[in-house]
Amino acid sequence: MSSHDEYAALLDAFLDGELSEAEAEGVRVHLSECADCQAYVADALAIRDAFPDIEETVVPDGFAESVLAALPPRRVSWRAQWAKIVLPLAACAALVILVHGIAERRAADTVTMSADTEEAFMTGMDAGGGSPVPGSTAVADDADTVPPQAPELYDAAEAQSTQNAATEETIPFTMRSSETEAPGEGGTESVSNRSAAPAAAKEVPGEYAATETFPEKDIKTEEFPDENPATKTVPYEETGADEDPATKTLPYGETGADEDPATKTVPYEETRAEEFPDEDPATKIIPYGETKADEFPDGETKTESVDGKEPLPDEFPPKPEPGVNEVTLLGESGEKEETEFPEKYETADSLSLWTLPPEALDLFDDYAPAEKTESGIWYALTPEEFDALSQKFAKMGMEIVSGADALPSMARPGMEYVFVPL
Amino acid sequence: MITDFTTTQERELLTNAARGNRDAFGELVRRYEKKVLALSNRLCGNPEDGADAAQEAFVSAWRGLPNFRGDANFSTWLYRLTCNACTDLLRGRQRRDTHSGPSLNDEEAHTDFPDPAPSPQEAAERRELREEIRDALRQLSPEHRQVLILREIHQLSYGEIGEALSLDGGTVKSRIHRARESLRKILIERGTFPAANRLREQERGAAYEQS
Repeated sequence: MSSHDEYAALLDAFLDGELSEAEAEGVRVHLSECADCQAYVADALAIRDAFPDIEETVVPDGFAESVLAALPPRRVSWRAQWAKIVLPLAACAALVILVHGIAERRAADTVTMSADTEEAFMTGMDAGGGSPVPGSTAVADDADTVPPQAPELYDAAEAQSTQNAATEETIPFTMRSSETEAPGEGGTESVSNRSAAPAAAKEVPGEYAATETFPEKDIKTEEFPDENPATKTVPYEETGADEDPATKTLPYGETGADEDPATKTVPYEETRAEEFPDEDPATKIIPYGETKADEFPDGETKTESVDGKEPLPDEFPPKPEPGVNEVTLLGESGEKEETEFPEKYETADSLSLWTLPPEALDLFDDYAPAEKTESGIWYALTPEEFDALSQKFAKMGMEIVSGADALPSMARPGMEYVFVPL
Repeated sequence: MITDFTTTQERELLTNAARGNRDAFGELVRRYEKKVLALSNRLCGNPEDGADAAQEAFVSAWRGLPNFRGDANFSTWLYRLTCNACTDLLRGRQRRDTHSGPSLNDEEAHTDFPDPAPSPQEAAERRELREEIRDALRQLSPEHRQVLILREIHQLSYGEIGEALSLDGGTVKSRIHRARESLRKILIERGTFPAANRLREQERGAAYEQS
C-alpha cells in the first residue's frame, strides 16, 4: 500500500478527531504535499458545514406533552416482577432463621449433637451460601409468601425429616440463586455426612425461596449435565430476557435481504430462536410447563441419597399455576398487591438475594451479636424482643421466617435465635 | 465534540422515570426532544414522520428504562431507539418516493445560518449546497445515512456511534469513509462542489487550524 493510500485511509478519522496526535501530525504533513487528499478534506468539511445544526431543529408545540400522553402504563417485565417477588422472599428467608422452639426441641432431643458435628454443621451452612434457611422442617411463617404448592413439598420433606429425626439432624435448606445446581438432587442428609465435606455443599436454584444445600460427596447423582430442566441456567447477559424489543438490532448480514440491513428491529420473541438455538442445551431456558418427558426420560436425573431415602421430586419447586400461585406483597405505597408468579423464569443471578434493605439491618442495632460466622451474625433474643422485632419487620412488609434445624453453637433453651446474613 | 456526561440530576431523573415517575420522564423528554427530533427528522425525511418516530422512540425508552443499566450514555441509547423507530416507521409505511430519504429541507433547514455575518452570496451558496446535500443523502444507503447524520449532526464519536448502532469501531470507521466518499462523488457528479469552491477554501484553512 502506498503512502498516499495509507494516509487517505486516515483522512476521515483525522477529520473526526479520532487520531492520536502523532497520527494527526503525519496526516497534516501528508496533506501539505497531496492535492488529492487536500481536495477530499476540503469537500468533507464543506459537507459538514452544510449539515444543519441541532439547535436549528424546530420542536413541535406540545411535543413532550404528546409523548407523555402516549406513554402506556408501565408494564413491569416479568423479570422485574420476579425481582419484586424474590427479593422480599429472599430477604425474609435469608434474614432470619431458625428460631421458634427449636432450642427447646433441641434440648429435648434424644440425640445429642456432638461438638464436632455441630461445628461441621455450622461450617456447612457457611459453605452453602451463608445461612441456614427454612428447609426440610422449615416453613415460612406466612403462607402468603410461599407458593401454595411449596408447603406440600416442605411437608413431604418434613415427613422425611421426621423419619430421620430419631437418629440424625436434617440439613438446613439454603436459599439463593444458583447457576449450576439442580433442585432435587439428594434429599435429607445426615449431620455426620455433612461433616465430611462441608465445603462442597451444593446449591440449588432458589427461584421459589427455598432450596437445599447438600454436601456434594454425600449425594450419589447420575451425571446428566444440563438434562434436568430445572438446572438449565443461562448467564444473565445471554438470556436477553430483559432486553427491550425496540432495541433489538441485528447486525448487517444477519437480516433478511429485503430488510434494512443496518438496523433491523425484530420482536423479541422472533429473536430467541436465533439467539438461543436448541442445539446448545446449556444455554436454553426451559419454562415451567415445558419440561418434556421425552428430553428427560425417566431415570436420567434420578438422584438418591446415600442412606437410600427417597429424593425430593425432580421438579422442585413445582410448576406455578397462573392465577393460583399468587403471593401477596406490599406495594411501594403499602397497598396489597396480588402478583402471579411468572410463567417462566430463569435464575436471577444478578439479584443480590442476600442483601437486606439497610433499614432492615438497622433494626438489629439494638441487639448485641451472639455469635458471628463468616456469612452472618446470630442474635439471641428473648421471646419479647423477638415479637417486637417481628412486628417491625411486618411493618416493613417482610417477615421473619422460622424453621430449619440450625442453631448457633451456644444456643440454649428459652431464647430465640435470629440469623442475619452479611 | 459533544460529550454527554450523565449528571447527578439526570441520573436521578432516570431512576425516578424507571420507577414509573412520569414527571421525571417528561423532564427527560424535554431535555432530549430537540436532539431526537434532529435525528428522526433527517432519517425519516420529513418532520411529520420524524415526530412520529421520535415519539415512538421515547415510548420505547419509557418501556425500556427499567432495564436500562447505564452501560451506555442515555443519549446514545436514545439515539439507538430513535434509529430503530425510524427504520420501523420507514419500513412499515413503504416509503413513497416523494418522501423517501433524509430531508434537510425542513422548515428549520431554511433558517439563517448561524454564521454571525455571512454575506448574502455566501448564505445563498450554503443554502444551495445544503439542498444539494439533502438530495444526495437520499441516494445513500440507510446505514451510510445513519452514520453520517450521527457524526455530522449529533457529533457522536466513533465509539458512541458504535454503541448506538451496535457496530464495532472498524465498521463505523469504514462506513463513515464510504458514506463520505459516496456523498462526495454524487456532489461532484452534479457539479455542486465547484459552486462551493470558495467556501471550501475558507474551510480548508480552518481545518488546519482546528487540527
